[in-house]
Amino acid sequence: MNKPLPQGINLEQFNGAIAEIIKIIGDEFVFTDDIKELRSYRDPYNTTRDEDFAPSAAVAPKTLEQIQQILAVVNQYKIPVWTISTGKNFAYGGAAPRKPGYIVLDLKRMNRIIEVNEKHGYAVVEPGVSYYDLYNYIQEKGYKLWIDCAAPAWGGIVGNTSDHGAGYTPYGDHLLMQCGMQVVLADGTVVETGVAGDSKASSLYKYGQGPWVDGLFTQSNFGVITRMGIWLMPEPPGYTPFMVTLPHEQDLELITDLAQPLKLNMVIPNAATTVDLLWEAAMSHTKAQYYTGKGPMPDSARKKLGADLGLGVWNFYAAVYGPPPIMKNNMDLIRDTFSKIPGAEFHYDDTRKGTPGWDYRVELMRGKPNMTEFSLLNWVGGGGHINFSPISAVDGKDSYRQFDMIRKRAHEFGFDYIGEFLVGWRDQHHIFMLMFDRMNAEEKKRAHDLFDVLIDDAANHGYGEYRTHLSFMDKIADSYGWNDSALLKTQHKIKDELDPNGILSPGKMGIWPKRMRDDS
Amino acid sequence: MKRPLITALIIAGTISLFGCEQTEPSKPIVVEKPTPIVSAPVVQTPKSTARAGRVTYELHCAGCHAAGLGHAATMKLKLARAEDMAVLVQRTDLTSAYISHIVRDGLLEMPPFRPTDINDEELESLAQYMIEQGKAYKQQDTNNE
Ligand SMILES: Cc1cc2nc3c(=O)[nH]c(=O)nc-3n(C[C@H](O)[C@H](O)[C@H](O)COP(=O)(O)OP(=O)(O)OC[C@H]3O[C@@H](n4cnc5c(N)ncnc54)[C@H](O)[C@@H]3O)c2cc1C
Repeated sequence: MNKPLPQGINLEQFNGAIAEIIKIIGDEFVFTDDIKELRSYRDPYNTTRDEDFAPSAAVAPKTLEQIQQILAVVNQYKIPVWTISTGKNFAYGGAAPRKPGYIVLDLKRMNRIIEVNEKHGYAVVEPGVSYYDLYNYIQEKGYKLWIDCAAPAWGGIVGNTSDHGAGYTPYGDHLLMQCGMQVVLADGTVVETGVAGDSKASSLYKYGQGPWVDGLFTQSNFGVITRMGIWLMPEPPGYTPFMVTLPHEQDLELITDLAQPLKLNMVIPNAATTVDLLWEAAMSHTKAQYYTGKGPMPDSARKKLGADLGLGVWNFYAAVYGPPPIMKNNMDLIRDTFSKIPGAEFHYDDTRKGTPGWDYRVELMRGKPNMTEFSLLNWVGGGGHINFSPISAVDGKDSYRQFDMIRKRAHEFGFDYIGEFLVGWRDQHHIFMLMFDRMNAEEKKRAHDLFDVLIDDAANHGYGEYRTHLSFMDKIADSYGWNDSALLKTQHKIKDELDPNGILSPGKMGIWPKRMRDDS
Repeated sequence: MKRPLITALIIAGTISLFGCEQTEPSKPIVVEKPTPIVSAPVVQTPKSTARAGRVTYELHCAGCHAAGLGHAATMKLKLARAEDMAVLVQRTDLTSAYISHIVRDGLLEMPPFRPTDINDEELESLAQYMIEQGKAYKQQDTNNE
């Protein structure tokens, strides 16, 4: 493979830029060896060719000033940099850039936990802080605070929140819980949002004055976030996780409609999940243990799997928190509500403890990081995966329609439906984990084609995705094209103003700088 | 509608269910076995920037590779290889070169790790730590026989 180079840049210019960056951060933190160093900056799990997202280099500054200096160099050369924090954005592209040849701006080394405030319940962290890091720190200090983590413990607060990620405690909507950030703009200007200066309230009040701009720097390429405030939940006096197993496919409709008022009124305070059978089963089993044929697992094997593992076709997880009388009150209400579903069964820690599918959810719903969900990668083996993530209303018919749409297509293309609905306050993130063998070229291509069709299907049904893989960012941006793409055009105007040389993460979520817009 | 049979435990009277899984102090993910003197290897002292092998292991490897259920790679290795190949820190067939290669390259389900996750020095002490753990485990196994 030829050395990937940034668009329009020759080797000499590239080497010139790299030499200047080495002067800023030292040789040790500039990576240019495609084989030894840069493999880890590609996406091992994508549906297309390895080289489609192969960077030319990765550089890892330690300070804000170094970032400013690096940006000055790449501005001069017009070389795109792709910002990552903990860089574990698997299912959506990992640490890899949108196009080959970009330089990855890897902020993992900026890993200071700047403040944890127990009284007011927040932390301020740099981009390299992982969920494990923050959790361990809080445990060491003995603070009575919980974090809210995404399922993969190695992800981090800044990266995940930047990509609008979600977790499973009552603080599961990460951007909602974000408060104040520090951002470096393409020209090196440092901006701080939230309440001005050293106010005691700077991590307590999100909106400062004037337009709230924090959102502009998320899922975008308008700046490099170098610090973020995140609210942390005080450890409650009690916690009761529970699961409701549901025997029929149609029960998705019932449970969603019954859960909706409980969520809206905060009787269920946390980000609940309605998880399908195969996702649950994959936490302890592989497909081959139940079915070795081609294509999606047939109903007979699914039935046996469900019966053996004591799982429903759908499995609803949630928790109540607080002093025991409050938990009891809410639990009574929840039990009475879900008891209306014929065949629904409640499960608790006393009988499920020791089952991997249960144990990791119990940890996630109280913000204890773990890696169990990566067991999904074992389901077919070979590890390939990409997430299709449409938003649905917390509405039975809408959920079922969306599930049915995806499941039918998945089966048509020879894949299992493996999915969950993350039931938020008012919306659901529907996550379809498309698993394939990454060593099998034909399967990869089929997975890619399926994903492509799903975007069209979703758009035709009026659904939009909340986040996506590098491969499909343009297409999904197009699906938000109402009124002659007024939204994207607005984003492009901002892009051109803030980053005239187009150096920051070109193509993120379909937003391209002017000079790359035509051939993207 | 007929009231369906619910196998829920009635909450009143099972108050003990509440408060289960209260935050306990973080336990080390790996239960360290005491290293018998006979096989005590020379531990390389990492330079100041390098975290000790154990810390790197716990931060980057144990989540998927620790013993017990709920660890994706342990589950996979058990099925694909064998029970006694499942837990990396209980194996004696791993070499430093092999560990380094897999960490940097990835393998099937496992992604490669970036040099900013684990630098070369840390990788070396990680490999040493894993090998030591394997030896110690084996030794204890033999002692117990
Ligand atoms: C099995 C599995 C389970 C998953 N479960 C979840 C889940 O429960 N919840 C969830 O949300 N996701 C989940 N994901 C998706 C993903 O792995 C996580 O969201 C992960 O946290 C993202 O990686 P990261 O935190 O290291 O962020 P990064 O990879 O560091 O960042 C993600 C993106 O945000 C942008 N970005 C990062 N840093 C900056 C910055 N400093 N300035 C500007 N932009 C920046 C970049 O575009 C980057 O690509 C899952 C994936 C898999 C494979």
